[in-house]
Amino acid sequence: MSKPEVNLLFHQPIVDHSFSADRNTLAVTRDNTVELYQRNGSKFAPVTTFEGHDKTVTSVDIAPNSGKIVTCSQDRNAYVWEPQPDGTYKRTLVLLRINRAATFVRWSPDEKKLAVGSGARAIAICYFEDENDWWVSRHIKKPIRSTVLSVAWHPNSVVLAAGSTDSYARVFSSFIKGVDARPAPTVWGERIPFATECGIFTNNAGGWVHAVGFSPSGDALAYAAHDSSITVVYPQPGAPETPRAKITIVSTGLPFTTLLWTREDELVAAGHDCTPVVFRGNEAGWSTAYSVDDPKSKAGAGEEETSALHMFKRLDIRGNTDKDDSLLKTIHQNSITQIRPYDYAGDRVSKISSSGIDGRVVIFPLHA
Amino acid sequence: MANVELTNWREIDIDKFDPERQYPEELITPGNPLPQAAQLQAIQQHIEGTHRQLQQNLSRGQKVEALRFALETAPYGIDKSQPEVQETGYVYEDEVKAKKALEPSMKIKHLQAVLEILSSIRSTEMNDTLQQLYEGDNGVELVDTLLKYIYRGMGVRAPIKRRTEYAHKEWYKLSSEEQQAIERAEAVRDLEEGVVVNHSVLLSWHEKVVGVAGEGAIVRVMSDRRTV
Repeated sequence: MSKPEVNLLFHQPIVDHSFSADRNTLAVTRDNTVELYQRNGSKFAPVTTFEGHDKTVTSVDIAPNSGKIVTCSQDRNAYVWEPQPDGTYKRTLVLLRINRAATFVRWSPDEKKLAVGSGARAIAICYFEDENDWWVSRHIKKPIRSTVLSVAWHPNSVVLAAGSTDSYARVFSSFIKGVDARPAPTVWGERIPFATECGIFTNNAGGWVHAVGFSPSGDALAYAAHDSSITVVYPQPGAPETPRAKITIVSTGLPFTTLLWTREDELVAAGHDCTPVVFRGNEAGWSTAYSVDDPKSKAGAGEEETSALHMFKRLDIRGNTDKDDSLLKTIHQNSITQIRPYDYAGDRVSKISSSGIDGRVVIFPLHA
Repeated sequence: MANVELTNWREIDIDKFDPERQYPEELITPGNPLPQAAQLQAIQQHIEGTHRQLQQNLSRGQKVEALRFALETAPYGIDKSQPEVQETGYVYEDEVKAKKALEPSMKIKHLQAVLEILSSIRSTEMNDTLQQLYEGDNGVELVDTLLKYIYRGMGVRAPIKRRTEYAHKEWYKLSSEEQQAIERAEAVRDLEEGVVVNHSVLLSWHEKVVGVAGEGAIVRVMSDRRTV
């Protein structure tokens, strides 16, 4: 297995990152801006900065086919940045009509729609209106009771999952007449009009739902909640509240804040423990497989302590023999904010990229 | 227009003119598995029965059984021992019902029982007890509940200066908020009267629990609305 590729971009939190389809362009959030980096050998060099948001940018997503970049921010706005032939970007405003921060944005797989989660207890489903040359939105409001922290698209670009601070993970229909073709029936239901609730799930202990994700086939949903758990749900068509199977894996560590399915029977989650963890399983049960960047397997800062000289030096300088415990043994030195697929081997994700509050973007290879 | 500089922006209710404003009732989270008014009597009887059963288990030396039983039957919901939750005004519908009907001393009684069991287990037996609990049915949730009781035990108030112990002058120097706070603390202290807490035992239990269930247990206890 090759080594993880570590890119320390700056010493500020990165709350979201996104790679272009060819993986040569990297967009990361930085305060009120989004910075675009270009791969240059083994390094990433800054090329453009997108300015225009008044407040912290909360999410960024590059559409793999069109190359359009969408950003959203606490200033309640979202912009679509369209690449022009001369290398510049044309900015278009998305009319979100929300009165609280926008928290999360993702392109639908067919790239015709955008889903924006917000603190206004609503999800804005946005689509492009040719006549007026802007992005308009429709809202999914009820029965969301609190801020939407994340959204995830089903491969059919109609079914949408959302995780919220009211401790529920929900599945909705985002079908918009005139934009979407009628989708084939899925396990989440058939003939589902806009804003139909196709699933609603929570855990006993509750806790904010930080991340949601559909399996590659779209037939299973996983969510990560603040009770340090990952739950995988296999739905039963027509019965949104009684799934066929609902499996919760409880972690002994800190909560996960992001997750990614790597294939139908495997997913990766990461969060406040600063290391991605791989889970494997199926409808019969799920369990932890391994930690991608396991702090326990590393000697880390302990190595130098084997030398007596070092020990006495330290004793002399600092007055103690304690090793330097300000460094974590993991690569990420702070919470991981987002993980994304980086490379594929066949139908499975073979490399993931992660961004963290420590300003790093790391590319981790996964076990086969 | 109001003087811009004198306006405290944070205090402006920006939802005031929003026609689609959702009202708090709609924002109440349902589904918290708390006793409904109708079931309350049954629950109270059950708790009484529980304590008898606990005493039997304990007197026979079946400490793991006693602990498991106590944790499985933990009463949730709000009673008068948690005035801070009532004060916020942000209580959940179920809990309001429960609060009205649940005998205030029930949760305290249960807490007392759990603390008794915990201090009856020797420090050398702690790890075995925990392992048995953790690996048994529903182990993760039971250990989480145990941690809730450990924190609740640590939260038992120390004796306070009572209302009657204040000199007349001294009392009226206090603001009405301070007076209310003292009266509230006194009410809680009255309820908790007689709860014996051995903090060093609780601390070593805490260490063992975190050793077995990890930091995840702490996070779960913090995020869980089902308080003991």
